[in-house]
Parts: sequence; C-alpha cells; structure tokens
Amino acid sequence: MKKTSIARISVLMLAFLLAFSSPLSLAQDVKKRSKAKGTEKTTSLSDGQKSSHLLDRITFGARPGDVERVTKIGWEKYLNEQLHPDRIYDQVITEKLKNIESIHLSNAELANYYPPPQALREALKTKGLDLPGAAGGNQSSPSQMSDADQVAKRREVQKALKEMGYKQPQQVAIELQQSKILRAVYSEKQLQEVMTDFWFNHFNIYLQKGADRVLTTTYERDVIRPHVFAKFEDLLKATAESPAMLFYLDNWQSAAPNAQAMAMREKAMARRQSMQANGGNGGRVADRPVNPRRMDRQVSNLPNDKTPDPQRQAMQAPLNNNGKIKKPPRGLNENYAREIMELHTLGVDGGYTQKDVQEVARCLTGWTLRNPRAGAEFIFNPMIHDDGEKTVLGKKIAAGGGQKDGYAVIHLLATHPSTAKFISTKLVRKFVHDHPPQALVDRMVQTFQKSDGDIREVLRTMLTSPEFFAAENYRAKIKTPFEMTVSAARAIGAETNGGPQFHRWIAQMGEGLFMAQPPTGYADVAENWVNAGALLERMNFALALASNRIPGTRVNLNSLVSGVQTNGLNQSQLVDRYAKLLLRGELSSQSRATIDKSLGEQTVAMNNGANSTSSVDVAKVVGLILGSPEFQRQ
Amino acid sequence: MDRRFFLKSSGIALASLSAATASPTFLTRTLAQTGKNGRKKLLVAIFQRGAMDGLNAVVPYGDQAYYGLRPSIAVPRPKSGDPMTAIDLDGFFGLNPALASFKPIYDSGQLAIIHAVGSPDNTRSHFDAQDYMEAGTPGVKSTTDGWLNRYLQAKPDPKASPFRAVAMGANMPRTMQGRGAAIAMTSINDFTIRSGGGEMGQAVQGGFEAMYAQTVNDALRGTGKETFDAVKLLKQVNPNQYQPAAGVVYPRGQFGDRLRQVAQLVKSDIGLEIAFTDIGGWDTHANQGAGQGQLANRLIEFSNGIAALYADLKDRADEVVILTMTEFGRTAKENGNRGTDHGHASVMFALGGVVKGGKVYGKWPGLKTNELYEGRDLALTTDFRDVFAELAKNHLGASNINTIFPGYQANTANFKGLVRA
Repeated sequence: MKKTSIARISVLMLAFLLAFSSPLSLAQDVKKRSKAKGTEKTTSLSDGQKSSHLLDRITFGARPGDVERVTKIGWEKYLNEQLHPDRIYDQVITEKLKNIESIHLSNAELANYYPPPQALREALKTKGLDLPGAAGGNQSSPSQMSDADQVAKRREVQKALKEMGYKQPQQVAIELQQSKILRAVYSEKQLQEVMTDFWFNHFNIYLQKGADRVLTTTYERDVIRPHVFAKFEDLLKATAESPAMLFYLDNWQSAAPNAQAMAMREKAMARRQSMQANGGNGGRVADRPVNPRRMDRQVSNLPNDKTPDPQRQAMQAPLNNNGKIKKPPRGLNENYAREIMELHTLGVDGGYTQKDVQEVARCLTGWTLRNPRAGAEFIFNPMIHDDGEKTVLGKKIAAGGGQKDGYAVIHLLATHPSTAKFISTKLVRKFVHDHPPQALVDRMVQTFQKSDGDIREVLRTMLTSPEFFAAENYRAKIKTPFEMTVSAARAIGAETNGGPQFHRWIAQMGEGLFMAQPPTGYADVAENWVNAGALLERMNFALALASNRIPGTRVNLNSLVSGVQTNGLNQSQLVDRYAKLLLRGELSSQSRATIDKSLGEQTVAMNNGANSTSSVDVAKVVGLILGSPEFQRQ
Repeated sequence: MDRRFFLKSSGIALASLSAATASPTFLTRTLAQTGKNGRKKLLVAIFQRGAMDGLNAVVPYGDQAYYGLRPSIAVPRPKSGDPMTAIDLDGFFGLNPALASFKPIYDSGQLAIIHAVGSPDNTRSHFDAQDYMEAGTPGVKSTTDGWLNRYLQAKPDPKASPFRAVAMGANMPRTMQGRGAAIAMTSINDFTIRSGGGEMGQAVQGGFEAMYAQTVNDALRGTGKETFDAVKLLKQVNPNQYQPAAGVVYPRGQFGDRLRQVAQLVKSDIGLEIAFTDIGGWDTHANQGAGQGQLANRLIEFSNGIAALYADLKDRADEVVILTMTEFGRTAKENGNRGTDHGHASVMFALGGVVKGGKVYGKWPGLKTNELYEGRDLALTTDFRDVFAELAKNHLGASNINTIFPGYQANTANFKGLVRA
C-alpha cells in the first residue's frame, strides 16, 4: 500500500506538471501587462506590491501584518522612518540584547575577560588544569578518559575559569552572531540592520583572524552601525582608524623602510617623553595601558603569540637594547593600502596603479595599534611613519604631514568619482537587481557627489526611483542565506534566541556571520549562493523551522492563523491560508497546487480517513512554502 | 557503470537524452579517456586561496639571490639530518620541509612540480587574480563561466551523472559556474531532504522537486533539477560503504574532510569527473616563517591532505590527476614584517599515475633584480592555461581546448608533457 500511494502521488504530480505547460510568474504577468498597454513599467506595481517590494528589500522580510501596515501609512512615510532610525522606538530588541554580556564591552574589557586559548591555558596551568579537547593541548588525555571523567574535567575547568573571572573566547563570537540574528529578526530599525550587514560586508574583516576574535564586536557596534547612513568619508575614516581593520589588513605592522626609521629612532628616544603631549589620537602613547586586570603581559608574552608588535618594538627596542635584541623588523606592508582602493573606494578598475598602492601604504605608515591583543587602541606612531613626499593618484602629498597623510588619502579616495560610481553600483546590486540599470547608477553618482557622499541621500535616490519599483525588478533577487533564514523566522513569527543552533544553518548555506575570510566579503550576486547543496539546506531549514526542530527557536503555526480552527479546514484551504500569509499571494498557482496535491494525497493515504489534519501536516505545509522557489525570492 | 547512469537518465532526464546522439567521435573519445576498468578519467582541482608563496614552498636554494632577498624567512639549503632545511629535489630546487609528505611521491615519479607558473596578467588583487584563474581568461572580466565548467560544456555527455562535477564546499566556485551541471556540497551525509523520513518524507521531497521543476526562475529551476537528480542517485550508490585505504589518514579539519569525501565519491563510482575544493590561509603578509611557522603549518595540512588522497586512490592512480593552483605568488623580497606581499608567478603541483613526475618543470627566470617581474616578483615562464589545457586535452580527453580557453591560442607545443598522453 505504501509503495502504491507514493507511485500514485508521482503520477498525479506528473499529470499536474504536464497540465501547466507555460507557467508565468506574477512578475512576468505584470511585465506583460505593462508592455501590452504600452504604459511605463514603473506604474504597474499595485500599492500592496509596492509595500511588499519595499519590505522585501529594505527589511529582513515582512512579518504578518507588515504589508498592510506599510500600505496604510504609505511606503514613502515608512521609508522615511527607516532612513532615520534614531526616531524609531525599539524596545523589544533592547530587552533581548540586554543580557548578552560581551556585546556591551570595550575592546580592553573583551581582551581581559575573554583571553585567547593560550592565555587561558597558562592561567589554568597554575591550577594544574588544561582546556578540554583543545588542539595542541595534551593529546593523550582525552582519549584515555572515560566520558564521565571528561565531563567532570570540563566542569572543573569551567569552575576554575569562573573563579578567575575568565570566559572562553569563542563565547564572544557566539554572542556576536547571536546579536546579529536577533537584531535582524526583532529590531524595528530594519534598514539600519540591513545597511549594517551591507557595510560590514563591504569593509569586511574576519572574526577568526587573531585579535579580531575580540575586536569584531566593537567594530560592528561602534564603527559600522553608527555610520551606516552617514557621510561616506566618515564611515571610511572610522574603518581606517578601527583596531579591527588595522589588524585585519596588517596596516598596524606597516612601517617606514629601515633606514629612515633607524634614524628617527635615535631622535625619538630623546623625544619619547614629550610625545605624550602631541600626536593627535596617538597622544597617549606613553600612557599606562588600559588593563583593569593586568592581563596584557600574560596575553602578549605568550609563546604562541609570535606576531611582533612594531609599535612596541619601536618604542622599547632602543631602550632595552643591550646588544642582545635583534634589529626589529620593519618596512612597508601593502595589504591595507591596496584594499582600501580596490575594495573600499575606487573599485578594481578605479584607475590606480601599483605605484599608487605603494604611495598610499607610505602615507599610512604609523597608523598602528597599542597592545593589539590587550585592548587594541588606535594610535599614530610618528617614529615608524614615512615622512617623505608622496604622490597619490597624481596628487602630491607634501613631506612632513605625519598622521595627516592618512586623512589626505582618505579624503582623496572618498571624493574620487570612481568611488561614487563603485559604491552606487554596489548598492544597486544589493537593493535593486544583480545587474544594475546604468541610468539609476548615474543618478545616484550625482547625488553622491552633490551631497558630499551622504549615504542616506544616495539611498533615498535609489529607493524612490522608478527603477526600484520597476516590474522587472519585483521579486527578481534571490535571498542570501542570512536573508532567507531570518525572513522565514519573521514570516511565521518565530521566537528565537538567535543561538548557535540557528546560526549553524546560515553557515551550512555558505555564509556564516562574520566568517568571510577574504577582504572582499561575501559575493553580492545570487549565482554564488544558488547551488545544489545550498538549495537543499534551504529546504531542510524550512522543514526544521516549521516543525520546531531547531533548538532555541519556537513557532506556533496554529496561532498564526488566529481565529481560524485549522482542524476545520481541509488541506487545500490550509495551503491557501498559509500561502497568503507567508508569501502575500505570490505562491504560484502551480506550487500551491503541488503542495496541495502531494500532501493531500499523502494524508488520505496515511490516515485512511481516520484522523483529521494533524499539526505535523501544518508543519509540512509551512515547510514546503518556506522552502519553495517563491520564498527564496525577494 | 555507464549503464546505471543510462537507466537513471532514461527515467529522469528523458528530454535531455534526445538532445544528443552518440556520434562515432563521441564513442572514440569516450573510449580514449576511460581508464582500465571503463571508468572515467578524473581531475581533482585544489585552489590555494590567498596566494601561496611559491618561493618558500619549492625553494630555489641554488639561486644565491634567494637568500639575499629573504634574510629572515629563507628556507636554508638542504643539510642532511636537519629537518628545518629544504628537502633536495634536483640539486637546485628543494621542498619546504613542511611538504615532506610529497617527497616519496616525487621520488616515485608521480608528482610533477611546475615553477614560475601563473597568470600573465599583472593584477595583484586576490579577487581579480582568482577570478582570472578560475575563469581561465586572464585580463578578461566579462567571462561569465569558469574553465572547468566550459570543459563540461565542451564535452557534453547526455549520460553524465549529476555528480560529474562536484565542488566540496558550501558555495559553487567561480571555476565551476556555468551552463554545465555541477554540484556544490559540504557533506555527503547531509545531501538529502531531512523531513523525518517515511512516507511523508517522500511526499515532501516530491513536493519540493515538483515546485522547483516548475519555477520560472532559471537559476532555481536548473539548480533544483540538479539537486534532486543527485539526491536520488546518492541514495542508490550508498557512499557510506567507503573506508579509506589501509594506513591512509586524512589530516583533521575541513580540508582533510573534504578530500576524504572526494575519495568517497570517487570510490562510489558515481560518475565523478571533476572534483574541486579549496584551502585558504596563504596570504602571509606577516611572520610567515620558513621551515616552520605560519606558512609551514598551511603546507603541512595541504600536503598531508593531498598525500592521503593520493594514497587512498592509489588503486586507480591511472584515472586520477590531482592539480593544485594559486592566484599568484608573492614578492621575492620579504617585506618589513617578515612576510611577503602580493607578487606574480608561483608553483603548481600535479600528482597521479599518468603524471610524468620526479621533475620540476618550467624555465627558471632567476631572482636577480633585473630578472624579477616589475623589479619585485618572480617572473612568469609558464602560462597556467598551458597546464590546464594540457590536462583537459591529454588527461580528460577534451578535443577542442580553444573553446575552453577562449582568446587563447593553446598550442600543444607549449605543453610541458606533464602527463602521458
């Protein structure tokens, strides 16, 4: 009986498929209609569709009732609200984030409470303990221990760490990922969060690179988020001065070539004390480090911590040099200089040369960090700065500029026409279409240049444009893994703690949060994330979410269709209800009927009419809708 | 073997079958490139993302300039008994000691090294250089598909398994993007619809399959079909019978896991022809080390993984070639942070039973200032397309390599003779 029912379903579905030889999506319908009428394509979205489209693109997906709400107040008003997040009351997310400890700390506090594994191991050693299962730890012990012993050991270690006031560093990553998921799901400042995601990816850093394990938290919170609607130059400057970026792209290690630095060092020794008074941001070079628990020594003197600190070496080597200490390495590092032009501003075809890369690197020498692994503070160190004349993109930067060289470069890059074009194009790819319409890009470039790189105004130009609401761009983008998972949770009103069990799915689809290793961040067009493996993960996620198989995330599907007894509905009516709710009627009639048929037949076959629709069936219906091709689009 | 695919295809892909007919050339070609047991030839491509420092991987210890350029990170000349020195290959080049597991394969004549190889384009952008190498068109950004995918297109196979081309990883790499069907997967075991099983599971899978088959979105429809064909085939062949060959141990971590799963697919005889995976962490701008240190740690994982795969597939050595690639090399001179910045030419490794190994291929351009590319990087003497093209033609059996490398007059005279044709 089982075999035959499956076979029957297959036959039915096949018959069904054949019946629809030329499927048309709604978007195509709209397009056809507008073409036939010869009207402007821009007028063809209904008010409801416009609201729905705006919500699709500037939020992490509509919640039940959102489309109606936006339609009622008008999309212009809603957009304006979203462009001014400071005016939005956001109590729910504030409450949810309140007790997530690490996301509220400073770099120094993070470094102190969440020291790297090596430091933890050192600390544990004093109590005769070691981290459980740590790579590089005592390899013989775990395999020889029974499970119970291992659990006991782990508890002992946890207890010891707690007593010492330490937490494991991976907690910082988990909580940061968690807070990003929670904000995306619950914050009312949706466009701010979408833009935070966008700009973080644009100025990407990698959570797993050395000190960035703890610096990423403040990078997102203090560098990216406050600037998402700011002047582009301010955002660029904030990233350039951020410890996280200085560390990630190695600029903190870049120093003027040998000869000059050596000469300067002689002079600098004498000047060392007086430096406290000047040097802008670096004015506190000789201050005592901000380290409430004096972990800095432990952290930075670790045997595994091999990265030399040119700042420290430049400062200390001459003083400590009794002929034993080797000449500290120093010299230019081009990494950040290249990426600030290629990825952050001009774009790879923006018209710079290898020579420009070197010149920008020279300008940025001395932009470094104090105690990168224990509080990481941005400073300018004149002793390792190349103070000669430079030429960047044909413009002379006079000798003797010191830290100002860097600001000159930032200004030059932020106001360069290639930057306006590069940023505008990237925004259109993100918000409008994978293949940006040139006319729209051109108008955004104009806004960018007229408004002194005002991101809010550039966004406004784009989001109010006819192109944005054009029928061919309606539901024409495929959601990223992050967008897909969060939009599904929002669509069905899931309650989630945003924990690792939720994040795991995003990572499985290929885009773990803060986990893009290269400076390019994740790719911004769909062909990079639409593939067989990732598609399966989407369907599996949809099923897991709808059937409450994701720990820490709960849905109540029956309460979704409130007031309606799902028991009283037949399968077909049920599919209708959920399709309307989750896809605002954009589930194609074919998909709707397919779900209907496959589940309907199945239910009859399984239950033999004995039972009415169970909650399991509702979960499958919702799972199928969330995993459907339509739900992948926005 | 092929019969199974034929049967499967006739059930699922009726339409595509009628599109192609078996011409005599097709038959000859198929015969020409099937191995001993009628199995397909196979290429495992491994991309080292971040630009591996070829000069510290395969050390030109015979070039005096090398030591002048790298006072703190040079790998010392071979010295027997000292495990931190280069492992001599031919009196001029030596392997970084972290590549020790390659040495026995080199000695057995099944590992070839190509030095001073790379892209003729002068970009030092990771992004562009990877793009060019994966697209197979240096300097041309408008290329929409990858060269491995164009290989699939150039040799259309109506009976092809959905597992003909597999990338291990969550994202489809640029080099396998294109019209040819390919799969990206993170894990063989997870490659299925997990709906709680049973009858309802079947129905859910069927529902998804039907919806994706109908969608108007080309990308989703095409991918959906590939997905469900693959899921079904995987169920039939049950790759979980796989055990690594005796004594084979893959290194812990993602790279080792992926290579192990490549072996698993190969041994399942699932019709794999192109496998791809990548390994990051090569962007050694600071403190890269010499015989040990950051770069050495990457080289250990890299070479131990590849050596394990090679040993695991030894019983079908004649069918498999493993090829490594990286987007560019690094500056010949070390930078101010005991590291190296973005450079030009680097190194590729090719392993397999048909590889004519035990040799370092390529003309050595030298490391004197006037010999360096733009005064700073190892110059290029082999275009990577000559290596790719030779393998596509002489190993995989592609007849028209010019469609795989458009704009490039692939000249068999430039082939290195890396494989027995």
